[in-house]
Amino acid sequence: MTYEDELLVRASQLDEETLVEIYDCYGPGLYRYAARLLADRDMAEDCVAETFKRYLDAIQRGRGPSRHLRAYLYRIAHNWITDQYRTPMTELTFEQEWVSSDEGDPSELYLQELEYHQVRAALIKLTPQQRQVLVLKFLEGWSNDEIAEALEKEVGAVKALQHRGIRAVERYLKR
Amino acid sequence: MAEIEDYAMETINKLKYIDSYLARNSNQALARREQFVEQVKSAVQSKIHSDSIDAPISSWIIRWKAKLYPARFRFHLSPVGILALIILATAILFTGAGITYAAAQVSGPLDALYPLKLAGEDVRLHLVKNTMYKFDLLLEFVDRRVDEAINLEQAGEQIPEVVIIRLQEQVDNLFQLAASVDTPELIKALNRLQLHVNLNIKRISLAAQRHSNDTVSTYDRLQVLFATHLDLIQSGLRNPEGFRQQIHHGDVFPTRSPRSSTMTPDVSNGPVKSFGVPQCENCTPMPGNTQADSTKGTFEVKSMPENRQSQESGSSSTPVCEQCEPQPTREQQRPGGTTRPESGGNQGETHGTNHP
Repeated sequence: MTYEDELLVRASQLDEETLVEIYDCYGPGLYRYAARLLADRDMAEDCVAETFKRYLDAIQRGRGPSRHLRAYLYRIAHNWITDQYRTPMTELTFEQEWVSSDEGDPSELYLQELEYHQVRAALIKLTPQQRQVLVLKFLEGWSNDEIAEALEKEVGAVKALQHRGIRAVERYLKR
Repeated sequence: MAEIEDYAMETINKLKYIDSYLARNSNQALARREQFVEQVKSAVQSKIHSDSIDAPISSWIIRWKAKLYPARFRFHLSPVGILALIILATAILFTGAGITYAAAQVSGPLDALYPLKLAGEDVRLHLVKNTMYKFDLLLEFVDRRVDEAINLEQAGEQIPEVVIIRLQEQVDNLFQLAASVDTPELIKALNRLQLHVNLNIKRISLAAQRHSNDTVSTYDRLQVLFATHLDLIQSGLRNPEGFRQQIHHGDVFPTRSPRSSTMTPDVSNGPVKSFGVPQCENCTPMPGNTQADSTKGTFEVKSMPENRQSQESGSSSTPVCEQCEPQPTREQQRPGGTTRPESGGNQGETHGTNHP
């Protein structure tokens, strides 16, 4: 039994410590994922909170996941983010407090930031599933199998989404 | 996916630009964590509360489901999967039921599936609305019972009472159905029933001839049963309205009421080889005195002049029923009394001279 399976078993019995452990384990990753897609700190926190609340409700109703907890949580987060994208997001405001792994020339940083905005704008124009596949694959480093599990899709469908997503980003960046 | 990643490497590298993300505010993160912990505590409290106090049935179900069927053993099925599962389960159910039903159809009275066979017959009868089709079905079932009885006898087994009871019930139902239709239909139905009864009597006679003497009593019983029915059929053919009256009044065998009581099988005694009451050889068709005329399709009882003569002379050596036996006068009933000659053909009538 894997660590995740053990967590699932204990969580299904509403074990307080286990649930907090799950929050601590997956909360930061979920925040990062939401922040990349939403570009809003508060919304990202809301996403994390809502994800764990829905998970807790599911356990209480006896309908929690039986396996792949991480995929389950990311699926909830994805659905929540998709709901947010359904509202018009034409004027996204990006906060300026970026955390960058590279320190360097300010002009370089500016160009990087500009390019970042372009990429982000392109990413936002994708369909929610294309966007999620690209983020999970290239930013979170998930395998196609894990993405397929999280999206409840076949691996082939994930590859197709990935292919179309990259093509679309490419077109948006060339404009 | 390698080829996609090759040609789109530049795009993917650009995607990495957004790897930098909004730094999480630690205070905000801590507050959200505390919020979640409170939610968990509340959930645990509500669970304890529902465990101790009268919880609604749904929560009991959920709790027991979680205990009996832990999450790790649960499978998540898509709607198509659930539909496929339902179809599969239905198919298995119907196939299993069909196989069992088919096996029951060839079962005998001593088999475990025999009650299922009888139940299946009942269901078929209930499903049929057309009276004449129901009549045909009942005729088929009567033939089945006779087959079963003959097969059992040939196998050296005793016929369970359930077969005889069932046979009697089905013939009674046939009479009820016949009485419920118009007179032309009634005549047709009775003719068909007569034909079947005659054929069954013939089959039983042939089977009795092929077998040893110890089985004759069972065959005899069946023959008597059918012969009695034959009487009713023939009276119905002569007087359909009277037949209808008889059936509607519930007295199926009015002309043979003393015998009909002995015809009723005694379930408590199990398989019975004989009725226990001496049978009248004058009016009861016996294997020895039956004559099935295949050309006429009717069952006839041989006249037995010697018996009738002996009855007339009052020295009958064979048992006779109340109908065949002359009614004794009061003088005959009185010890030492003398019988006065009867007049006017009223054999059972007594004279006033016997009054005190």
